[in-house]
Amino acid sequence: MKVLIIEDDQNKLKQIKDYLYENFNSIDICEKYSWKSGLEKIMEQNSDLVLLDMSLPTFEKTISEMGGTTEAFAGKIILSRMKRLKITIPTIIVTQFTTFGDEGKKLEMLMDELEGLNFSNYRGTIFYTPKHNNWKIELESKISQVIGENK
Amino acid sequence: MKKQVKSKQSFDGLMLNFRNEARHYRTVDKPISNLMIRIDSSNVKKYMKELLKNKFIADKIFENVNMKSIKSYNENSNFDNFGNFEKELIWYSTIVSNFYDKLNVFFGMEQKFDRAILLSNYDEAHKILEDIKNEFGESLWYVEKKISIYSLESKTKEKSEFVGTYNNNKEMYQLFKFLIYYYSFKGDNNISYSMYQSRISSVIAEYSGGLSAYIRFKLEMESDYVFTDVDLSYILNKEIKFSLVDCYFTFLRVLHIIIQQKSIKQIKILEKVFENFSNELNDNRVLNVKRLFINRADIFNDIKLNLSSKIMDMYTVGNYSEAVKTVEDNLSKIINDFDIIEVYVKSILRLNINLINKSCVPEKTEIYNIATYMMSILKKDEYYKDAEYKLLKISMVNSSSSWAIKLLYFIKENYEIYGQVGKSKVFGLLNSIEINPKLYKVLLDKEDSRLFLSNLVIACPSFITASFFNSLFTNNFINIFNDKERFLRYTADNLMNKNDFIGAKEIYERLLISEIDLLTKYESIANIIKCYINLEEFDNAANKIVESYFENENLLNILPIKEFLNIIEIDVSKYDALNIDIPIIYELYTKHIAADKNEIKTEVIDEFIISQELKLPSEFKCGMNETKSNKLVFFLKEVCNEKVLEGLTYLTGGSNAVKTERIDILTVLLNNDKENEKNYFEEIGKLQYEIYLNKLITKVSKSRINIKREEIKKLVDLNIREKYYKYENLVVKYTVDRVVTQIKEIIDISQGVLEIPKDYTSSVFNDIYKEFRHYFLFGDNGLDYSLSVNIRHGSIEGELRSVFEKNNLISYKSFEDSTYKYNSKWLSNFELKEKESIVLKEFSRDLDAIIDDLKDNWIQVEIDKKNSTRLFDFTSNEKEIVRLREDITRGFLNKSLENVTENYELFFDSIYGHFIDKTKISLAKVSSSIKNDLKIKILKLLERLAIKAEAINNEKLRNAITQTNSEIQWTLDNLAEWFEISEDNLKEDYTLRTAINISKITIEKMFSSFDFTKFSIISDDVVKLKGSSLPSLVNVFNILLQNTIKHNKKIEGVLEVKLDKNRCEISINCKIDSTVDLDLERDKLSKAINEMEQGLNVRKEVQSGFQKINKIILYDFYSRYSREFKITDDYSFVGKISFDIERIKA
Repeated sequence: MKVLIIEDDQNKLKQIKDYLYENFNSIDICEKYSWKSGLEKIMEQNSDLVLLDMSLPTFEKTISEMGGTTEAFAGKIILSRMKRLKITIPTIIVTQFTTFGDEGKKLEMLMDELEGLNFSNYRGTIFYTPKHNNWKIELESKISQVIGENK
Repeated sequence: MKKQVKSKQSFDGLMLNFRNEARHYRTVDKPISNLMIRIDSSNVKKYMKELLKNKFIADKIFENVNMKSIKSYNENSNFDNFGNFEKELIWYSTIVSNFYDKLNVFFGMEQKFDRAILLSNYDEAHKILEDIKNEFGESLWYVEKKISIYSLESKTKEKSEFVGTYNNNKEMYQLFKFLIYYYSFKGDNNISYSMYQSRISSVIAEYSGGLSAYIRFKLEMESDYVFTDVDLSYILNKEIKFSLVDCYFTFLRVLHIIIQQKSIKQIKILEKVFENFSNELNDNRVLNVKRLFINRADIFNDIKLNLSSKIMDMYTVGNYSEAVKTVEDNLSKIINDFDIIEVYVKSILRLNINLINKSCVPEKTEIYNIATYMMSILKKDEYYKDAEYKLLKISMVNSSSSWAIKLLYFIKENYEIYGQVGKSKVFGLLNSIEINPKLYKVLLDKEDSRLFLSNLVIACPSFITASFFNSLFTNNFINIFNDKERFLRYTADNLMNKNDFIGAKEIYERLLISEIDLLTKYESIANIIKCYINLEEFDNAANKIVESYFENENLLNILPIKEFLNIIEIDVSKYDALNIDIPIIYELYTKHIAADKNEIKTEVIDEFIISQELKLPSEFKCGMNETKSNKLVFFLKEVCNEKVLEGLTYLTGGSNAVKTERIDILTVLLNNDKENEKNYFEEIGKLQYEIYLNKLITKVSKSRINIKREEIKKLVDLNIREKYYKYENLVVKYTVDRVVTQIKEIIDISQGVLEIPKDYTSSVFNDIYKEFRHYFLFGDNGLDYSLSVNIRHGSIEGELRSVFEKNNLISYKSFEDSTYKYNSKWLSNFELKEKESIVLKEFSRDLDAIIDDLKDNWIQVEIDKKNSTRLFDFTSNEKEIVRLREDITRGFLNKSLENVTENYELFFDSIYGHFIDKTKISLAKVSSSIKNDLKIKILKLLERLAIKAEAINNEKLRNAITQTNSEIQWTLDNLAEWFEISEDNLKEDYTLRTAINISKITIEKMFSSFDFTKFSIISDDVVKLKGSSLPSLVNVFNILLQNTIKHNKKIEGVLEVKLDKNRCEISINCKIDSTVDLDLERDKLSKAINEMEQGLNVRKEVQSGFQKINKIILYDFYSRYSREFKITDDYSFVGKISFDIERIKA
């Protein structure tokens, strides 16, 4: 299974990768650190699953690139683009924030909003926190669901 | 594939199965006709009844029938996957039908509650509400009613406390809190309905999709909104998890919406739904909705609309008897249409007909009742008080409850005012023109009266309007409508209100070509657009908006842009993605009206470009017809700005690629919009300069470790050359064999033990080595100078702190008492009071300690002590020295001994190369330590802070920590890249302005919380300087600006840099805090200057930057500098530095 992880937090990325390698066989992970590079990879259409952070910089940060605007709702932007470009790769949001954007939109409200936007490939949102393992259980359940769909 | 699969026949799974089972009856993805054949609702009921017998399942599915606490909402997640609308409706009606008995109990209690409210018996109303709560549990209905009563009673404090109990409940579901907050806002007597509308509109705009529609629905903002099936499906799905009371009302309102929206395709499904409704329900509202539906043929055929405009026309031209006759003939089609009844009653009044004596058949009773009530109100007869209450009650069924409450409050207030003084006109200020001079004045003014009347029709319930028009007639104000143009406008406005948009549009278009004033013209244009919108002619509407704006930019405020965008956002299929007008309208909206649609704007623009089979906007070819070309020019010029470009799918190359694309767009514009050629050239120049600056900033960042070989060589030539010759001669005195043997012996002896060789030649070489090392490290242009000036002094600290500063996690240490200051952003961003701020003060302290350790230990050079924490390890390693000596000695012994110069050069290269290698090893060590050890240290510190934030339950602070956590890791990785030996990549000449701008960008990044707008920078842009001097000059400015900020609470002043012949003069004049002790400040300044002059603290990074500036000018610009620093009596710091630029001039 080819999993694309779009995540700018190195620690969180490592945790997710370690978890996937430990729990799933034949997993092939590709990582991107900004929503633009992530979208570019998605458009190649060779991933089976996308794990997506909600807040991301526009471009990947380097010594010569500041990263552009940090989009609080980058995950939503990517889901919208996928819908518009008719890309149906199952996508799970994994976020460690409880509020988003200047107006402080709550995670629960954002989840309700995503649900109401009818993205056919959206498989739900998982709240990640390094302190607990709940996210692992949820991730396992959602990935199993995706695997089941692909069978 | 999967290693661990847990058995998950959990409760959730069971519920999901149950729902899927039920879906069997709801069919999946079949056309409605198919659905009708397959669904047998009696089977669904039967099936559900079976399931309900299982308490385990029943409790989970229907616990909300009597929801004990609001927080239990959403615990049951089994209904998350909602199906299509038809399925949801059937599902809903099936569920509700299981609870008729319970609902009937509720209706009985609700009637008592209504009566108590209408009789202003609020204590009784409270009591009944509590009884309802005890019987039916928590519900939004209960909360809303409770807030309404408190509003009616004007019990602000009690209301706040009531709302507070919900808001302060941390476990409660957010959506509940959100709705309760706005219910309380709605019930605020100080907030007008229009203010409420405007506030809620902006709130709704923050959300999209089903949630946006849901909020609109719950906050009763649906009047001009067309709900899609997906919206309604979402609403039903959300509400099924609420209490039974809420479920029921939502269901009723959704049915009402469907019928009112006249969607013909819903007829069959509604028939099915109403089959489920039996007459067992004792609620007039459901009967009304059902009756509306029974008359669906008329409703769906739009007969009522035509009827309405026909009757209005008759009345407007004074044909009252015809109006009455038409209404009488169509009574069954106009149930509860207050507007028509209003006209009917007014016509009857004109004709002096006694309505009460009319004989009626039973099915006409209701409309006659309404008409009678309205007539009583208009005539102010003895029954009018009672009539108002009754009419109000009827209006509650068809109007939103917020209106009903507002209206009730309005009437109540006016009764108190006029009733007590015995005035007959109790129906509000509107009727009392003769005692309301303000209103009188408004009505006499031609334009004001028109606006007032238009707004009145929109804002007020029909019977208030009816009453008001009656007053106009009785007070001879009817001549307001005398002139033809006014009549036309009034007619068109009325047609609009009666939803006859074709008719209204025609009249507005007629008005546009007649001689009318500007305001009427503008309003007519706006109304034509509104007609297009309502007729769903979206392309025409869009075109009219854009062309009107192009014709006159001032029209922007009057054009219904927001209304247009809100409508097309509901269903994107309603407009053509190829239409260039749409992105233009989004641009107009976000630029001039509100910023809430920026996200959608970028999506629309991206979609438009891709729909043109292009990847980037610069690929557009102009040269279409004039109108289209104008639009394309506007699109490229105004819409495709850098922010928008950044979000385009196919623009992936980074920030500089965004600027390059903008330049390409401007190049297209240069060829197609000659008029603005100059502006395009200017913007291109500005963008090119920004790209150039960005590239230079990267180069400067990579030029921090700058070892000047030639400068070191000069020192070595001067001080070591002779010593080398001496060494060479000494060696030559011995035979080659002897030397080799000796070296071998040394190596054999010193296996594992580093001893300084005793023989004299070794000793001479060791001295040479150490002296060379000193020049390499501590010479004027040595390694330590680079580390000190380019890294340790401010740069690394600024780079690290900037991330924390941006996220407002830190503050600065006070120079007076070394304690950490309170950062005002802590209050505004995290609501963290002074007392709680200790958490962040401690964090600032600990972070600074880590940074100090980095500067004072890690990035320092060590020459003596082994196992030091300093990472630039240049301690003597005897083995290395011996090997180096062996290589050098062998080198010159193998060559002609007469060629001493060549031997010396080889000697220099060998030792210099040796130190460069050592430098590279140290740099790699630092780089790795930053990426790993420092990262761990800082992340641990953040983790500790996160635990503290958790303890004080500060969500905003927690999020800022998470954000910092992500950002700091990248910053550290980039920082690690500083530690590479600079390749001489700064060859391009530059101007003073460039150096200052680079410094400004750097400092702004470091101190993101400072407002630089009050700080002006003036500089020369003529003389070019050598590229290699750029990092040093940028450093001079950085040190000056950094110190200015650090030593002042506010940054306000001027930095001026000018060139006079071969001298550069930098002057800074900056305001300092007016509360400081001037003498103390002057002492500090003088101490710093003394330290600099005496050369103290050469290797320690002292707070003062004077010394660093001194060193830079001396070592890098080869110039002495003159300076003058003072603190003036008017609390300003004035500094002036001047130095020679002869050596760095290009």
